[in-house]
Amino acid sequence: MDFSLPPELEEKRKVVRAFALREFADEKKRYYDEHEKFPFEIRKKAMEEGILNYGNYWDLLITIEELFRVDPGLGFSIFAPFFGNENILLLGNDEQKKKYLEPVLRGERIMGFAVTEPVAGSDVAGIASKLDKQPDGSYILNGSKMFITNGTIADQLVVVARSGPVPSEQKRHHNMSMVIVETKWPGVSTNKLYGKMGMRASDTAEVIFDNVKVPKENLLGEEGKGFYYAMNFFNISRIYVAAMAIGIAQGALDIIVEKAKKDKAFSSMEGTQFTIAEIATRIEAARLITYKAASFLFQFNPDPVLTSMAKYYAAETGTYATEKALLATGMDGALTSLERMFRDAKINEIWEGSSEIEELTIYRMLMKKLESD
Amino acid sequence: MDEEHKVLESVLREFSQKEIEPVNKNIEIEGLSVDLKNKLASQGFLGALAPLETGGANLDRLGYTILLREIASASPSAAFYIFLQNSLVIKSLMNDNNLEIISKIASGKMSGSLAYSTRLNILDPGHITKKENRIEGVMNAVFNSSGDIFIVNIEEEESLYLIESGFEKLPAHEQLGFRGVAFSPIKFNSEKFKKLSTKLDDIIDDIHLPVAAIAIGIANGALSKAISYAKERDAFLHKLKDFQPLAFNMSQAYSELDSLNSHLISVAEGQKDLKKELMIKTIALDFARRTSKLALQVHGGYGYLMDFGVEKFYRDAMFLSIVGGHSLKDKIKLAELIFESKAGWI
Ligand SMILES: Cc1cc2nc3c(=O)[nH]c(=O)nc-3n(C[C@H](O)[C@H](O)[C@H](O)COP(=O)(O)OP(=O)(O)OC[C@H]3O[C@@H](n4cnc5c(N)ncnc54)[C@H](O)[C@@H]3O)c2cc1C
Repeated sequence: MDFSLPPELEEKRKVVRAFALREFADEKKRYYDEHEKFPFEIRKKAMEEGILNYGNYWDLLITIEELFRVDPGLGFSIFAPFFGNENILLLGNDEQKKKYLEPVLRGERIMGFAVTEPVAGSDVAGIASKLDKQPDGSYILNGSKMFITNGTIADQLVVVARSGPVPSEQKRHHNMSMVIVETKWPGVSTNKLYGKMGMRASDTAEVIFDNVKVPKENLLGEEGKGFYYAMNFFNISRIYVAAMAIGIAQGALDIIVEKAKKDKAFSSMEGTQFTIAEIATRIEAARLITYKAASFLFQFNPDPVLTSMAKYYAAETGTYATEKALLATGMDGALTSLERMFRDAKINEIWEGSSEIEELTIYRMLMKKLESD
Repeated sequence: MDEEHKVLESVLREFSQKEIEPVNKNIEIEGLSVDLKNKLASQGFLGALAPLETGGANLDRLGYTILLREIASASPSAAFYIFLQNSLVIKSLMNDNNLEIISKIASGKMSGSLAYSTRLNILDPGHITKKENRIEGVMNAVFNSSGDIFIVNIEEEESLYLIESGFEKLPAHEQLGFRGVAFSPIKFNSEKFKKLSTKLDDIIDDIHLPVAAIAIGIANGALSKAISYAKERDAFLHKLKDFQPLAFNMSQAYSELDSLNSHLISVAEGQKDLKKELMIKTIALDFARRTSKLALQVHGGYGYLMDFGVEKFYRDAMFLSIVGGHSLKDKIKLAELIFESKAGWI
């Protein structure tokens, strides 16, 4: 067992940190947060400088950590244009990959993944959007999606909707399908959601589909398997959410450490020392679970128990660290990025499976594993 | 609680429902409006602690506690503004002959602020000096920074001064909480000031119970929203209230709130007692942070949106923990009172 990261990843960590420190200047962090604007220019720079390396999962994980460590809202906005592309990577045929995936990887197009609806968030099987199959094999999509990241700026969305009737209460997750929808198609409209507590540089929207014609070529994978595909996607994306949360926790630790360095009276107190020790320990634990889960996932042998543990524990660590750091640093912390990090951190306990849903997943998958042992 | 205070409680609940709830989102975006401030004044809330002859309501400890708790349940910002005008400004002015200014504050014609950042956990609170007939300097974290009068502490003298002109509001800070109330540094350069006999430390010693009341109001406002939401929202073919982690956590919080509330009333009914007030503040702030977090979580993604009115409680509970005193100094003081000797530092 070797716990050290390869030197090239350590090197990449430094490169990303330097990028984030340079590009996420204080006034920019504040501007995008205050105005709820998507930072197109910073994203462009990140693409030009090759900050995001989608071909290397470990590289991406470390990159996310370092971006979020400096500013979660801006970090997320750089990373999120790829959100959902794993579905095309895993399920898409050559044509779909060429048309939809490659331009995203080149930074020419922006993606989104639309699952949540006003009536159903945690309960993915409860979604009501409909894909009505036409005689020519195409679909007519109707319904509305809620909280869709990149909703108003995306060129394309991977959408999960119902493509057949609900067979029974127990089988509500059956008959769902996954399709790629271009946002410029007739019948797609979006409505930006303003007033988020955090992650305000990111774009979040309501997306409405009104008789949108989806060609049969845009079906991803097999018809009827959309629910399973979505769950499979979350099993991947949760690792990255864990990395986001670890980045935030690390950023909070940086700020309290900074104050400790400047203020001898502050650092000489056991109260401060214990807070730093506690946050650092939790970060280490969260990172270990996350890297362990990632090592299985990145070798295409995912362990959903570990992945959910990573997301659940790291998310909690993110809020814990920002909270404790703010309480310890007081007004000093409140006048720095820490106040923003505190607002940003909470989202990780909600999206991509709330903490409660992670706990349920941990239990269910653990029982399955233990029963088969 | 006697009849008089029960009536006050129900008047406040009605006021919050009618006058605050409809403009609650606006308070967070644009600040407390002149119209709302006028309504707070006409009810006697801005002069809650001011003597009757100034047009104030002259509430007792219990009445003032209920006022802050009830208003905070709807809008923590509005409660904090009332707290600033009463616990900080009017109280600072009370011992000297400042009835005219107090009556202007009570009537909402004027508003003020006390620059108390030197009593908060901040490395650079700013510094004010008094040289002959001029007070100058900058105070870094001042609330109601768009106010008409300021009270500052000259640390060298340990004296408070009322400043009626000669100040400038510097660019606003990013503001985690109490967004209804302006917050920025203030630059002073004034020749028009007046020495006050009240001491800053006495004012700060008296904020614990009011801060506890606001914290409990925040917890109450957040939890009420979460309980209502859990009764309405469906997931997995059930109401949220039917899931154990949610139902049990909210029931636990409800029970804690009930006990804390009774305790708050009993502390407020009693005489001033620093130890009891510090104790309840410590518990109430911790409870407000935990409960507002729970309430946000119960709302899922909607909790993260301003429109649902719950995220402000999460921000405000944390911010109150920072601006409601110097938590470390409070801890040391409480430890000393409990150990009956120096404790909590070496
Ligand atoms: C900023 C932002 C960006 C987002 N981006 C996207 C996106 O790009 N694409 C997308 O599809 N979605 C997105 N979401 C939606 C997000 O994934 C959902 O908000 C989340 O899944 C929770 O769903 P909900 O909000 O409907 O809450 P609900 O499902 O209504 O849950 C409310 C509360 O009940 C709890 N709960 C639910 N069921 C149970 C149970 N059985 N036991 C115990 N507790 C339970 C939940 O944990 C939560 O605390 C985003 C949300 C936000 C806020």
